[in-house]
Amino acid sequence: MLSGKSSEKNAPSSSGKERRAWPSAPKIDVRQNPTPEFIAVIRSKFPVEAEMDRVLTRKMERRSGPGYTPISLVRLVEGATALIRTSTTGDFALRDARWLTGGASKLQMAFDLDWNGPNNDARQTTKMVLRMEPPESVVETSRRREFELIKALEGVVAVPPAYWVDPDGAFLPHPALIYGFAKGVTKPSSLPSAQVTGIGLNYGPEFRPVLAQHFLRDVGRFHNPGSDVLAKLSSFDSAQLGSSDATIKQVNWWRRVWEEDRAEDIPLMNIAYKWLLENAPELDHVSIVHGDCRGGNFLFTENDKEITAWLDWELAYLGDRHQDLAWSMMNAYRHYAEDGKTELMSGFLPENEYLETYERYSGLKVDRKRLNYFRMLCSYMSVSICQGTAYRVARGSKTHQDIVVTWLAMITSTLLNQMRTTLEEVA
Amino acid sequence: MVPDFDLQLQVAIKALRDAVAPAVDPGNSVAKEQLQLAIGTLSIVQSRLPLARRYVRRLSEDAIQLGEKVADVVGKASAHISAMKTALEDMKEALADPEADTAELESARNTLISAICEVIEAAPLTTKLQALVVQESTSSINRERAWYISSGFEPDKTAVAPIEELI
Repeated sequence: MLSGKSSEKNAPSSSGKERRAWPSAPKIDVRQNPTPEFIAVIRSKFPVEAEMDRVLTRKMERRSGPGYTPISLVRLVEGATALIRTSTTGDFALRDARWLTGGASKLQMAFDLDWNGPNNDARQTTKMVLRMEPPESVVETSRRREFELIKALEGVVAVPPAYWVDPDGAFLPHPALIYGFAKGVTKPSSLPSAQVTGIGLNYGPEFRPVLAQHFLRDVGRFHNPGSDVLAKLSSFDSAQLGSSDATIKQVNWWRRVWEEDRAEDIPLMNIAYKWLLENAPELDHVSIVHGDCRGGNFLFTENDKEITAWLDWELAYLGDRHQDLAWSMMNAYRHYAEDGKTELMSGFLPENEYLETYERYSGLKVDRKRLNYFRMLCSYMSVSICQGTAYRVARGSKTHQDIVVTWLAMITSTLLNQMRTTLEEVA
Repeated sequence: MVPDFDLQLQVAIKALRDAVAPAVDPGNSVAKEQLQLAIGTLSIVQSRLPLARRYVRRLSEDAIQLGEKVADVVGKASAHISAMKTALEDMKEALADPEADTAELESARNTLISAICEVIEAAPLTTKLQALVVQESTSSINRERAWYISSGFEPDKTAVAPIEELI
């Protein structure tokens, strides 16, 4: 707080006039050097899933540590070699290591692996991707969960084969996983570059109709995971039918991130949080929620327009399917069709057709009231990430993409406007 | 004041665009993207720097209006109300002080906004409080949308008034 006038010292300026010394730094930056007590209070007030508690606590305990410094490909190859050796017999060699771009969150290195294959039975060369966290990421998540989920989804939807995980950064500079390189593109190669992070992606009229069907078909599949798949997800808290606990934990995840990372308060965020707690619906079906479900987060082959790999599962959790629908329908992921009038959800279909197509593929009903609830949650989550964490990681020079995440922070007012209009609609 | 901020930013942008960009390895897509964002960031700063003080003053006035209305709705029941009223007075005095610089106004505004949030956090969520905060947040949100319009994130740019009209 600014203290009152009586405690302020007036400093004479060069002109001889007295100048009131206004404090120039807000007290809120305790977040840059958090104390154990500060961390403990937040953990206690906003309980989240066990694995996410571990990840977020680790982030805060390292907050005052060093920022990101460039990491060489040589260092990553050394770490990846050590990690692969833990479970690979026979000779192997990493070749042609190179950086991959895309996304604002993780470091990615592509390489070729000469080895005897996962079953140690045939000499082969496999294209691989190492996905590693920077010291702090614009979304702080669990490589253990991501690895576990990708493995569990094999056979449900197209995912890259996951091979190795280093969940605590024992072999690599930071937590990482290695998965197989999937063929395909995130956008038609004939299209110009889109905004950073895929926002504003337009597939165009040639690809859009088929990709829309494949996209919603696959979403329906992972929203109906089956008990055998769920049983493989030991790093995820279970979700109980008839309870709002899974959703409340999700709300608290983003409130906790907001508490840990923000530079400034926003009154609308306090209102939104209260509203989300008071209106959380009971779960009617347990889905794998992708968490960043939208165009741009899957690869497809241009010749047949088939989805070859779903990417970026780091925000996934077990909960309500409506979150993925609401996320994919956020304003930032919509655009108008070529007629200039028809608004396309996630760049695919008009709203009613989008939801009807989803219902047909998934066999699950879309509840408009729940959809509105998750529109609020998606806005809340987005502001926490873009206004809270994007600022914090760039302030601490924590990533290889500080300028990208700072650019991303400029979307906040657009997101707040969506939150504001949603709150008006649900009032 | 020569060179002034505008000229310094102009030449920095020109150097990056005309001399540095052609020298970047075409195969290094990370460097290419970050260079474009660096140029874009400097361009936004160049266009907004002359307006920054007016912008912060308008946001500060928005915060005062919100704080006063929240105080009316929540009343004296809140344990945090006196801290918010102190922050309100500090904000008004900072705005009235011609010597207060932009960073100091921002600091006072952040303190006031934090105090408002503490009051909201401690209060029950009523329809009246929700409607008030939603309504009173509109001006600041629209100013910020206009301020960052060059980022390209606004789905319909025509829905946002020019920043010069909003400050």
